[in-house]
Amino acid sequence: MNEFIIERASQLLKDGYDGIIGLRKRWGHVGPYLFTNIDELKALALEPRYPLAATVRLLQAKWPEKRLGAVLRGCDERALKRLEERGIYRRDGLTAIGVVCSQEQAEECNCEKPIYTTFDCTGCWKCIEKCEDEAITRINVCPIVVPNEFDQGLGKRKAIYIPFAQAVPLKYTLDPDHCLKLTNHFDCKGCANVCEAKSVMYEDEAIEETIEVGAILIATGHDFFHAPLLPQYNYGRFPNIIESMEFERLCSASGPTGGKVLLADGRVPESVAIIHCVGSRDSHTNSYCSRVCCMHAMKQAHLVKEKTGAQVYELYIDIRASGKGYEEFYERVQREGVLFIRGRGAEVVMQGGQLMVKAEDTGLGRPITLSVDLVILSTGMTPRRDSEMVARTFHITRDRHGFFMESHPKLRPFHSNTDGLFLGGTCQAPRDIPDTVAHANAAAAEALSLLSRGKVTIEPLVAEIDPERCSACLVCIPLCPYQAISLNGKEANVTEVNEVLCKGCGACVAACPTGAITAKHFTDQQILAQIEGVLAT
Amino acid sequence: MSRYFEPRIVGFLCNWCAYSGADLAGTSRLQYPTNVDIIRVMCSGRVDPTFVLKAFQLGADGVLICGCHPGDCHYSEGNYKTARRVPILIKLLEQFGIEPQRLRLEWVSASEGDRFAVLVNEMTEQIRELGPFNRNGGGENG
Amino acid sequence: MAKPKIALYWAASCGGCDVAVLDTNEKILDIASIADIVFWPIALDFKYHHLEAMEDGSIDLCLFNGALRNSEQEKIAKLLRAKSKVMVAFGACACFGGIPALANFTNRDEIFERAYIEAPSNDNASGTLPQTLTKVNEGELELPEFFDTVSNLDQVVVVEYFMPGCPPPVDLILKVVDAFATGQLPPAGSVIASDKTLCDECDRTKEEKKITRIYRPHEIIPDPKKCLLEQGIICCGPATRGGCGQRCIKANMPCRGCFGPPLGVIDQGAKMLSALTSTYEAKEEEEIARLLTELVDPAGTFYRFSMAKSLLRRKRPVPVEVGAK
Repeated sequence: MNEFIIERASQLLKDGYDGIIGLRKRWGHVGPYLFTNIDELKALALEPRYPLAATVRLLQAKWPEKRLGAVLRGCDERALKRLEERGIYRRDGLTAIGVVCSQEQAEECNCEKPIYTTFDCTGCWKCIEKCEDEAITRINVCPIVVPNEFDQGLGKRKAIYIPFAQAVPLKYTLDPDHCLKLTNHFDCKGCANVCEAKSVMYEDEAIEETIEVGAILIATGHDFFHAPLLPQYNYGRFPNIIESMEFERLCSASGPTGGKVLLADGRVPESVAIIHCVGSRDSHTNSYCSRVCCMHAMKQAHLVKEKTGAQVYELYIDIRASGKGYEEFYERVQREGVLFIRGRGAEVVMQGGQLMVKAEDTGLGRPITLSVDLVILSTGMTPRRDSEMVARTFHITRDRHGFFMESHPKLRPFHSNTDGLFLGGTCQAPRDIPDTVAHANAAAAEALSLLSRGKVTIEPLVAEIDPERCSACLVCIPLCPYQAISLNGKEANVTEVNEVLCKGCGACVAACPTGAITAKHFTDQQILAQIEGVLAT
Repeated sequence: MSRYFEPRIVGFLCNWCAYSGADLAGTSRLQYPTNVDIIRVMCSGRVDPTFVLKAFQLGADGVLICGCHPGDCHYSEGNYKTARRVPILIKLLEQFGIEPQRLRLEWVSASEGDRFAVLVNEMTEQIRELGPFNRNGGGENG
Repeated sequence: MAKPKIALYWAASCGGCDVAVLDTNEKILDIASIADIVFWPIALDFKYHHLEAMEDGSIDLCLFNGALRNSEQEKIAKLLRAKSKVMVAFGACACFGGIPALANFTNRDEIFERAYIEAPSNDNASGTLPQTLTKVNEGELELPEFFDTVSNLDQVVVVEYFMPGCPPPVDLILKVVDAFATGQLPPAGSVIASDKTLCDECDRTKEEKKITRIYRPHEIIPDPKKCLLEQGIICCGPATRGGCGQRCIKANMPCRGCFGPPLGVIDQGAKMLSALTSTYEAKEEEEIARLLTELVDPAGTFYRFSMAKSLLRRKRPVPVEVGAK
């Protein structure tokens, strides 16, 4: 801040101003001083506060013909304005360099100055435009507020933020889509100004690196079913219909409500309906069972009961509680008074300002309507939205639901079809935390085992080129996706195959017009013999 | 003798997708006709046009080549080579008086067991409609 | 000591192979001095009955050119085989069918229809077609039977040597004659050509086989130093035996495959098709459709000389109704 002020003051002096009124530190405390040359400005002090309005008035009255500048803070400007209102002083002719006090100074003075540390600042900049005194020259906080993705959009965050309290590494990151400076809207340095470690780097860019590895473990996780795809639940049309992940954030002590279960208008719900199998076990959307929702729906029911004592209804098709302690938990939740109604939640409507859930109670054999304050939709687990791109990049097959396909459903559930590529967790199939830990651990163990062997066993299915037949027509070379074929060095009269790179696909064998390439164990003779065999009657 | 005959179709299936898909049709106990004799190759890109011609020379009524979907080839691009070879081969076969439906290229992934069963069914019926290949031993002089 | 006896015969042929023998120029006199030519219809006045009168195995070397497409040619081929110690399939037609074998894309009825009825220069209102036996006042007239399918020589008789080429190059002919004269003929069954393909002897620079467009030879003037295939002109060199001295390549024209398939390749056309389509740059449907329009006549392009020896050999005859008699 100092340099900026000094620079502006120096500029005014260079432009021919006769003097700059400011504070100078001398003999242990600050006092007003008229700086008349640039060297003196080195001693310019900004704090602690000393009222300069009287000094300005005096000097201007003494030398009305001189051009003066002054380093003024907001309260000085306010004082001068009051003096002007009383007719004692005339402001024109004075060029002010505005100073914004630090937080400590503002607190000490109990000042009403504009403070940019409020969470509600939207960065409209109207204050900067409006302030004719130009008292607002620097900001010292991020003014941008956007919905917080981790809180499922229920809470807010700044454009410089930590994703969530347990993030690793626990460092702040700039949001390139919303930060004013990174999006080139404004040269805002609010965050950098206050950073004591001076570690905000706007120029930081993603660097692409190529790393050679021996094994890859894909653990890219999952997404959730997008509730608006089932319009009968009216998600997004009426308030207080939320997805299960949104409820998780409401319950969380680090979430937008600090752990309180609240409706959109801040009231505590008195009745809650939890609808199971939204986007699961559904021929219209996903036919599979998402495995985890029954248990987390029960947990959420338990938390609602604990936090609010509200009446909770669970609308289910079947209860899947197959893990350790899961069945016991189910019984406990029932004992706590949660009502389990067997019947798929069919529709959620608003009647007279009240949410109504329609379903069939198959136990009673008749349709029911539940009047509730809050509806939680247990949305199913789906593959991530970018799983197609990831699958292409790593050559992983996807099953018909889009999850990454394992090598064998029973015996190799964490291997993919490519050697050295392993699958861990929910990217392969829906599963809960203990199962994910086991699955991913197994995949990691397999990867480590592969690396620790020191040797790799490769298939003997490689191509071989007969130098007696090869005429170096070069048809084969561009066909190999592994660049395993090359000319034999200086002589360059035949091509040869690198057996370690060759994976045995046989594309070169089929294309070689001289028949010089053989695919070991899948030779032309063997295949032709098979053809003859199957067609011999 | 009626017009009914059992087509003999030679199938070249790639190990990673098509063959696994056919395997899945089997483990899923899906019913499909036995008219396709499957020959496993590592990649559909291994299928030399010579194999197809040999099959027809020996009297096959149809040839089916199955590989991974474009973009999913286990060896990255093998199926693209097949995708280029087969249309020209079909055009060549037409010049030889062989109906284009007798050579078929399809993409079957490892999870598409039901698709494979449907495909075999469809092709068998189609070839049955077309009739036998009837090479008469290669067309002797006369 | 009697001079060795040589016979030459032309079957379904253009006469070019005989001209090639004459192309040996003055060396023909050397040949005539070391051997007796006992049968050569195009040049010498020997008749069939002379041939029939010879003892079996009395001809030391028979150079047989032309494909076999009628009963006369078949008969003489068998006769010459009986009379000769060494039978050489001389020229592409005798080796693998050659250009005449392209008639395997049609059949006798269609050919007769076209030649004797349809052709615009005909004056054949009565629609007369050749018959094998015609009764006239003076007796019976015989014409050879015209076959549906053209064969190459070794599909009818056993052949010791194959000299490919359309026609075989003069230096190769002289090499054979020389080897024959000095008793140093290679093992029976050999093809008198290189065991590698034309690419091995082609002088042009090869960089990267990635074809983006196919041109017919008249569409562009190719760079005489670069590989023709890489420039988009279909050169069958990769799938053709070498040994011809790259005569077409030197004239800036692509190889058409007259030296036949390389050693071990059972179907020349299939391999050339595979090589060409594999290196063509196309992934999307439109690109593959473009390839289809650019490759106008795959059968004619890939089987120009080797149709009779290919796997399918001929166009499939019209299928007979199963059960119909």
